[in-house]
Amino acid sequence: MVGDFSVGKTSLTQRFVNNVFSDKYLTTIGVKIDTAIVGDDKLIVWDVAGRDSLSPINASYLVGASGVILVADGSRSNTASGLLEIWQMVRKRIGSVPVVVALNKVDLDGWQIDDHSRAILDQQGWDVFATSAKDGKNVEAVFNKLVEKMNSKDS
Amino acid sequence: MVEVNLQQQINAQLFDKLQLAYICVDSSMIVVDISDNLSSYGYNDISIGAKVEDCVDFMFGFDAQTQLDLPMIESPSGITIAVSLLPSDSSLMVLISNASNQAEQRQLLQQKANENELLVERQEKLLHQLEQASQQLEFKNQQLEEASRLQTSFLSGVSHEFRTPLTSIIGYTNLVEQSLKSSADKKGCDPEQKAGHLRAVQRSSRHLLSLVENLLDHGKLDSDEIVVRPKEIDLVELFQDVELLLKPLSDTKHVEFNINLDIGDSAVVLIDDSRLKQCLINILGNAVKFTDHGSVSLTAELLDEFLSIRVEDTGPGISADDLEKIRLPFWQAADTGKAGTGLGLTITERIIELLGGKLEVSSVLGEGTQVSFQIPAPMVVTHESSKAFNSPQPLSNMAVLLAEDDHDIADLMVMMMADRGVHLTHVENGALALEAMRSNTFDFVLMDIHMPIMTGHEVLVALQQENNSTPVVIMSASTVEAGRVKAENLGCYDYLIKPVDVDDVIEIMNQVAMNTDISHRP
Amino acid sequence: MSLSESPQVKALKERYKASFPEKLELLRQRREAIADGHISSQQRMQVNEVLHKLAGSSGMYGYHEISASCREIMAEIDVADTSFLVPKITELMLLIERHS
Repeated sequence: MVGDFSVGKTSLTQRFVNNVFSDKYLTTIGVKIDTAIVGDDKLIVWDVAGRDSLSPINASYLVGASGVILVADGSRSNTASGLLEIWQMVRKRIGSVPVVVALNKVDLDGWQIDDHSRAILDQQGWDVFATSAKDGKNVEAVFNKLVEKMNSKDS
Repeated sequence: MVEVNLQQQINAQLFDKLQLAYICVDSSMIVVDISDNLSSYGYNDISIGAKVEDCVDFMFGFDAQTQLDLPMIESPSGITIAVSLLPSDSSLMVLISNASNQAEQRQLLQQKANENELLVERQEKLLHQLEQASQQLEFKNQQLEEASRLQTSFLSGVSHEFRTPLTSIIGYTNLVEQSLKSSADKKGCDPEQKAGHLRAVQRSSRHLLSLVENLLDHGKLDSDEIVVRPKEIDLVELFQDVELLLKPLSDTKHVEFNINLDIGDSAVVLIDDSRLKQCLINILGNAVKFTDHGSVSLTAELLDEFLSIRVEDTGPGISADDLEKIRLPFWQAADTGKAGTGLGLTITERIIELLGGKLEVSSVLGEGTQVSFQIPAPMVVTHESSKAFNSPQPLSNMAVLLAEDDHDIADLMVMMMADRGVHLTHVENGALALEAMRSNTFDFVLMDIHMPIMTGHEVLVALQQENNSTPVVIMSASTVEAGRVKAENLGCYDYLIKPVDVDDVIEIMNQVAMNTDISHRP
Repeated sequence: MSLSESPQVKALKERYKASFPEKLELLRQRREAIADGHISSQQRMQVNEVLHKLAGSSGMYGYHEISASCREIMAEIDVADTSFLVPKITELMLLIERHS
């Protein structure tokens, strides 16, 4: 799970793995690793600390990943446009692995993703989901989609 | 020997201090050696011979050649660890050390920095919202100001309209007063003349009254709520009214006032006379007001059902620049020295638009002004005696059926309508009504809903099926809205609630008469 | 626009006023039928019919109070019990008597 700080990477992971949600913001340092079973597959989720003013994303955490979820906060448009740069960095370190995009916090007012921004994301050929870790919307969908893509890449 | 021991001791100390732990795996990622303190990090199930990725979750995805530094990982025990992968020829060493101090510091720092930045972002967002809100407010304010300006200009315009007929009334009553005073010496006490003055007063009063009536349905200046009410109007009379209204004004200023009519002898057209008069009086009034010497002339032409009006004056004229501005509300030329609100033209232009025309103004500074417009004026087939307000004559040619089972009501209606010149054929139930409508052509049907044999609704259904489009007005004692809707869906022309006012029925019949040509009925 | 009434209209109005005793008798009968406290749906319909006619004609002849009183009762006719209806009909009858 990669993206800018405070976009909801940990919340999405916790919602998916443990079905819990907390409004409190507690920044992740380094990486937190969780495991979930999806069908026949075991999913090891690396919840990586977000890119922030102190430091960029540590690409070492990406090594060995079979897939990536790019996460942005839909109420902060800069985090969505930032995904392009982040993806460049991911590709450089581990190549073009299966990827999906979660535009999180769709439950909030003040959604800033307009058609233009959306078009830019679609242009990349990404599967984009509007998610909410708070109410659960599209959380399973985005993880399942990535699993689907990772499985089809293997076969 | 001693050195080995020392080495071991140093190692032991290092391990203790840094709480170093290690896992050693072979080239197939099988565990071959581990330190004995791994459980303190929560890695309890590592056994030699097992696949490392099965017991240590972060090891999945690596191979024996992976060289990597992972500075901060949360271990199962909750302690943050630093992990280093050190590959060698045949094995991979995974070194784990306690990084909780750095983690704690980092946590505080990162939390604060991120929270700060979120605050800054939020602030920017709020500022932006404030800006937008402030802009919207500004805009709303402007709109309100504009609306208020329009309202004021409207009110001024209205009082402006009132002044002309009022001045006329004062003028004529003055004349009557004078003439009464001098009746003693029998000079200029012509009763016919006095009657004429009083008639002029009446005309002005009636015009005032219709202005007031118009006020009642006058919304905003450019709302579509302004209702234009075309009536059968004798144009000759209308222009006579206008002339009489303006005469006192032009006489006072010693300005010649001419009317040239090219409209035929008895031109009766369908037009909203009070609106037209309003415009004419406004344009002529302005012309007279601004002209100090010479003349004001009105030319009216009726051709192909269009009324063309042209007003010319020999006043000071309007400069090319000002020509554009005169239609704006409140605008007045700077140095005319004339009193006024500068609004009449705005309203006039709007009204002419509503009447179906367009106001044209042309002028040359120093050479006078010309104002013209053209409005549709459909001809009306005149009836000999159709001067009365609600003339019953055309209605008496209509065949009207009344279907009502209550005799008290039916008898009264027949009688009251007869008083107004309308003959009703009465039947007392729906079946008889349908039969009557099948064997005769009625122009108009009044029908009760609750009747025996066949109800009003059932009759409407049958009429629809037989494609009978005779206008049927329903009378119902029920005020339930659903009843009205049902009747309207079944095609009734109108719906009246009992007790029915006979004048309402007459009004509806007039509407029907206008829409159908009954002039050739015997 | 008001026209003065023709003699025929005046005669009709007199005739209508003279029909009041008849209408009162009809109301009296309907009231008797439900005086024991029971009212069937058919009886409700019958009362409604009388009131409906009366409301319409009294309104047309200018007796707006009577018309309004009828409508008042008609509004409740489907649900009211006799303890409401009987006094209300009596009220209406008194009103008609006053105008007779």
